[in-house]
Amino acid sequence: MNEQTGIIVTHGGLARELLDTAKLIVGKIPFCYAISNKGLADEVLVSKIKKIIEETDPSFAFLFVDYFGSSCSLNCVRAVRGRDNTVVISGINLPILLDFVTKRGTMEPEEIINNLIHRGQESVKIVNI
Amino acid sequence: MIIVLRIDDRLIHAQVVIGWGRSVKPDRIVIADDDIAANDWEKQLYASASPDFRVSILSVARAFEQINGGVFDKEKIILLVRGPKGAMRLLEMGLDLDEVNVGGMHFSEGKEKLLDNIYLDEGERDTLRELVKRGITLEARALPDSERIILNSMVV
Repeated sequence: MNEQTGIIVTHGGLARELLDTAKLIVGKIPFCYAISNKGLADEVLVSKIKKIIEETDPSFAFLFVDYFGSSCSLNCVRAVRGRDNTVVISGINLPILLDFVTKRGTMEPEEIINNLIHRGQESVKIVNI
Repeated sequence: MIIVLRIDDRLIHAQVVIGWGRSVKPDRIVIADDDIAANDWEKQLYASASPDFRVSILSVARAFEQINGGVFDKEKIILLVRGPKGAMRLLEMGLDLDEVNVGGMHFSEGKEKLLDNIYLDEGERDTLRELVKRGITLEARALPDSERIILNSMVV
């Protein structure tokens, strides 16, 4: 049993870029993976996600997708079907990812999930004054 | 009224919901697929994926019956099948269309690349060839404003 693992599954190169950008801000980020759905059939994407979960054997797996209802989101749900200690959260953005990598391991998964969703939502607002 | 019959192994996904949805403004998305229609879990998954449109998930035969029976006459529908076989079956049953959109057939082991978003195994290529023989125009277009590529000469 290992760390709390993060797996970002998105369209195009967004997952990789999000992860690389987060690394620019916080440094190395172990146990966090980026997957693109680009060109992949559903079953190929599902097995890629499953493979990471099996190989890292996380204490809790956080899957992040960019868009609710997309193939990324559906295939994450398929990949974790029947698995405990897993959550799939849609609407990943940089604040959510940064919160995840800085807070994981410091609190219970349920508390982190609530924090991440709150963070993601509250970071979308009008900021000009 | 069928706006488009689309072959797309992802069925309901972002390209369809946003890309096509924004442009053709469908009232309903109809998935014609025997396996999914018989699988409550998958049905629920697809139904939950598209809050902006009505969704029907039917076996191929049932989809044809409903279309033919006029159930969707007052709606604009995007009709989705997972592969060429589904399109062929609908046309064999008598669906009156002369064009099929080949939107997404993604990579898996043993498939050969035709275009960026279209990978085919032999059976799929054969079925596309049969569709061409029936006089169907196969247009590869991921999105409504993508370049329209006619596949007919590429699969025969």
